Amino acid sequence: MIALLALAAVLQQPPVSQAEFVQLHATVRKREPWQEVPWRTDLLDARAVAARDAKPLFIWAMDGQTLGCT
Amino acid sequence: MVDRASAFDDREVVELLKTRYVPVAPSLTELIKSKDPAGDFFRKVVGQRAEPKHTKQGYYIASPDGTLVVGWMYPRPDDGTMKKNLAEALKTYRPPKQIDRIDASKVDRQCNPVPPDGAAVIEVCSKVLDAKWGPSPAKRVDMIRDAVGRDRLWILRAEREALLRGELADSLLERVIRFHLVDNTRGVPRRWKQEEMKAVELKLAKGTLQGRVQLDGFDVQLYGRIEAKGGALSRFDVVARGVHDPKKTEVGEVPLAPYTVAIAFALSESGEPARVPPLFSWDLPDYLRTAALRVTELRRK
Repeated sequence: MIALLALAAVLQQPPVSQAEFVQLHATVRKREPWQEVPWRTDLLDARAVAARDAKPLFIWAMDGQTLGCT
Repeated sequence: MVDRASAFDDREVVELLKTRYVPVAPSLTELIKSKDPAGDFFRKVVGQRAEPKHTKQGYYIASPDGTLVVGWMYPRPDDGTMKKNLAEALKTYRPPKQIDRIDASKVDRQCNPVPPDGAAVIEVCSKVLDAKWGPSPAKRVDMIRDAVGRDRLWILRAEREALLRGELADSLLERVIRFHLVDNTRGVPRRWKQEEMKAVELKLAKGTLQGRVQLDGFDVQLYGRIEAKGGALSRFDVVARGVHDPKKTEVGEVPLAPYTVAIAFALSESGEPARVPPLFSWDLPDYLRTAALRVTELRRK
């Protein structure tokens, strides 16, 4: 019983303060190097650009949403 | 996640992709079954890769006529293979002399969902803040500690209009809780079941959202600022922070132990980032549910 109460106390979090909100909002949404790549989402649109610019396609394909949750 | 933290965490790789390639990142899950010309073209390309046999996930360098130059999935984390393959493919690549026309107007919307008319798109990020996990030989665990999980949230027109009036619609709140108060730093998570929502104590007053959501094994505190300007939603900055105590691992080698995770919401940039659909848009009726809501019951209590 005591262990359960202790666990409940650990799990219940203090409210998010305004200062923490500002800090977390910036930290969690940090930019990463892969986001500098001008990824397209439409394969046929990319194919048309590759044909026009005489460049190869680079396809990165993952389960879920490759640019989102994967 | 591993790709972002290894293969693409390299200045030269990013530069090669920006300048010498046309990079595209579709959803394998959706495009592989898409009944349209894009799906046909995709299947033609990925069908030429022989290994690995168990998945078509990974990378493909291809000509716009559909000829595969090179395709690979491993090693993960990347060991320099990405940079090597990008550089070597350029040495031998010759643009095709003839490329067949493809009718891009036919789109299988079941596999390529777009935001409903009038919807707002929100970027959702998650990050582990503190995890008392023991040492692990898997490099992946260390990467998860620093990874940012990303998804999109769709806010329907009626919900957006409610926000402009200072109201948080039950349907929006239930979508946020079930599909976005999740830890997706380690791969595709599962959504919360309605019955796993235990309590909702949230208030939106004068543009400030504050309160608490209790899920089965996840106690979450929220704070945010939601603002309108000129009749439009101009700010949707929200942070959720809580201790997650999962009963079972959703991904193999991550140990079971309580950990703190934060989730941040903000209006998406326009253009390509806003075209990425929410993960759970594959089950649109459940994702966009507006009736038979658990949140409505909980808010009445």
